[in-house]
Amino acid sequence: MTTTILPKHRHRLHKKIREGIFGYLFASPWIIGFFGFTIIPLLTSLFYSFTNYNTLNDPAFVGFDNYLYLIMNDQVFWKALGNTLFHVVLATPFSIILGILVALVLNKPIRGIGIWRTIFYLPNVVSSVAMALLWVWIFNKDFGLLNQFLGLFGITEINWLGDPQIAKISLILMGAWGAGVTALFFLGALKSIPHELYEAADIAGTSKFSQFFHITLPLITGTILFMLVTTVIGAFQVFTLSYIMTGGGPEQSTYYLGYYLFDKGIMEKQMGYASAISWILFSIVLLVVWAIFKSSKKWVFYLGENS
Amino acid sequence: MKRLISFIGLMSITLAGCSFKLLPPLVAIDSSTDTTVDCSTRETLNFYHLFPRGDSGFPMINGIISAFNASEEATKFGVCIKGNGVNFWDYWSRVDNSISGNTAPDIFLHALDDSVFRARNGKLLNIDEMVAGDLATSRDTLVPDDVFYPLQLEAGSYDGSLYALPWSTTVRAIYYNKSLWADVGLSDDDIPTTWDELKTISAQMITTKEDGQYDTIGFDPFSGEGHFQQWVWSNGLDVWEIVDGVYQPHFNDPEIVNTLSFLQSFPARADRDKLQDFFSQFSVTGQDPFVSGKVGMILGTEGLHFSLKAAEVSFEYGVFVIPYGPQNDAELPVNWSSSFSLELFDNHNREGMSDELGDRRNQGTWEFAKFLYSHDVQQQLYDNAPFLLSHRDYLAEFSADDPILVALADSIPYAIEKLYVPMAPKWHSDLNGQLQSFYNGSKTAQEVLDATQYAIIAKINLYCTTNADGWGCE
Repeated sequence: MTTTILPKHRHRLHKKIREGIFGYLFASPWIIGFFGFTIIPLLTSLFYSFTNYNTLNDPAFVGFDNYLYLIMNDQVFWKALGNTLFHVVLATPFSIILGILVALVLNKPIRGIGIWRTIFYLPNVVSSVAMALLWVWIFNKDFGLLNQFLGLFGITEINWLGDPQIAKISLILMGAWGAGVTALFFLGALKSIPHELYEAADIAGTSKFSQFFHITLPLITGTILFMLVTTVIGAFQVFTLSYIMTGGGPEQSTYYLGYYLFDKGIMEKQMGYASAISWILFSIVLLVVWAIFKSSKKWVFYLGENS
Repeated sequence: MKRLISFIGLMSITLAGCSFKLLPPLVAIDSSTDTTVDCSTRETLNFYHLFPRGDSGFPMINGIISAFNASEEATKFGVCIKGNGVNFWDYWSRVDNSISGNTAPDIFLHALDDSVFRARNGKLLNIDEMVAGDLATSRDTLVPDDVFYPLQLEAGSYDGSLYALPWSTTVRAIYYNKSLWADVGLSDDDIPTTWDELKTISAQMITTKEDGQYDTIGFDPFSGEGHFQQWVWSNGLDVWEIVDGVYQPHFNDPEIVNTLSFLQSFPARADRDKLQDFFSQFSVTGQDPFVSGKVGMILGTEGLHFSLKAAEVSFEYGVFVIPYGPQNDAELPVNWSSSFSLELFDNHNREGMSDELGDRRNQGTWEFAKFLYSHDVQQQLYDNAPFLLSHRDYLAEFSADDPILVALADSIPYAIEKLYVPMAPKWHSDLNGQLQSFYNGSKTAQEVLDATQYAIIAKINLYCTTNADGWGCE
């Protein structure tokens, strides 16, 4: 008996090992890339954050000095953090609500829907730098399209990028440009909602408004969670728009943490300090994402799930 | 096991196949090594420059490198130069990252105004020592004092020694439209020499359209290349002072505030919105207001001359040195230069490099640097690239038939690089950022310069508290 079982077991083990080797072999490009371009730089930047490093000499260990100065003395850091939080708090819901609205429109059986979907997605194939330059012209106070349009309604010139009170909002409004991607995700979610639910609601005489809040919205909360997490992370990392469109101004109103760490690390060669900024930013993002996931148990629903 | 071996074998063959297909063009793109010289037995020295493949200057720089590799000097020191042309926008991160790592090029172009940063950190070869070495062995050499302007050499020096050779010169002067001048009865005899005179004649050229907007203006001190620190220097002042090695900011000194207030009193700035609308119409359409013939005078670099020549403008123009301000007792027409430098990496500081090999590489690099400043090479560079040579004799010789360049050359001896401040290396753009609030009228001269001083002091405190080096700190 034993002589017949052992070879089979050996063969199975052997096969498992082989499969494991092949699995790792096929995944190795990603594993190498993940370690080489993510884990090692991540840990290196953590080490740098405890050093004084000007990129040319050897890093000198300074303990928690960078972190302490950032938190206790650096007013620019707090200003940049405030600007970043303002951007996250407004840009995230704006992007998600707009995405849902566009998806609802694109979900309608209207003529040429394919073309409309393409049109809404098209802006996302343009590079962010080109897009930012384009919006500089649209927001131009004197000759910009936006002010020309508002002028038709008697609204006088708005200094979209030159007024500290408005510039932050202008960059958030630009988020409308990228609504196509968000809408695409929500469109996928809307398509997965069974029609029977709406038919039953129609028979019961439920209004479309009520159907949206009691059927549609709960059943796309999974997608909302995903979009919320990715949008929040993206919003915390905002940099390109202000770098190209406003240079962080006017009066540092669009000077975000991403911009500050770029200035410190790349422009001023204080890589240790910049690394400390990036780790604080990373910690904040981690905390916020953790809070979102923690709260998601209370507001995310999946079809067929027991409530 | 058989399948694993066959898989690895297959992958190796595929990758080898790919590399066979990819390698030849990669080498061809990156290498400028002369194929007629056998470089395989020589030490390869890397040269980073700004003429990538596809650039009109690429064949020229390739030819220069080939000529050096075939020269006696290259043979004598057993070296070959390998050129690496990088696009301007990628160049800076490429060269800085290489220097930070252990892959620094042996010789490269960089910005003259921050060369002290690399010199202080031991990355650059001491040029004075190389010159002394040549003189001690009776070799032909390049004596910097005989070739370059003193202010440029000062910018490339650290701790009493020269570490960066000036490669190009940028000079700022005022261009004037002779047609607009003639319209108001002005001629070359009326070229202003003081700020008051400049202000007076700039008022004469303001004309308005039917809707009340400016049609033409005379001069706006903050347009074109009109940066505030440039005016501060022209006025015999400075926003930085180094006292016993300590960097002290003076952005809100009363004289500096008065300078800003005076410049704001130029006639075209009387109506901010009109002036903004005037320049906005050009920026929207990507035009240059001076090239468009709508500005009587504008502050520009030699680049504006090249643009005007390329645009074949219909009007005649001239150029004059920036008038000095009322507090410039020395009456020197100081202007701002932002030059390129040619820097040589000190191979003794390269990891794993023996002293003997380091010496050989440094000497080979130095020979190539001298070759780059030779007459024929400088002539080729001048003919192929739109910049002013730092070599003062050759620049004078090659540009003798261009009256504008001759006139611009008058300002070169007074062209200074902006000070490298370790705690605030981008102080100049910080200042410009703050000044936007002044230009748009939301802050007064005093308020905006107070804010700048405050921001710069914050940077100094940060640097001096968290930086073990303490360069420039008390």
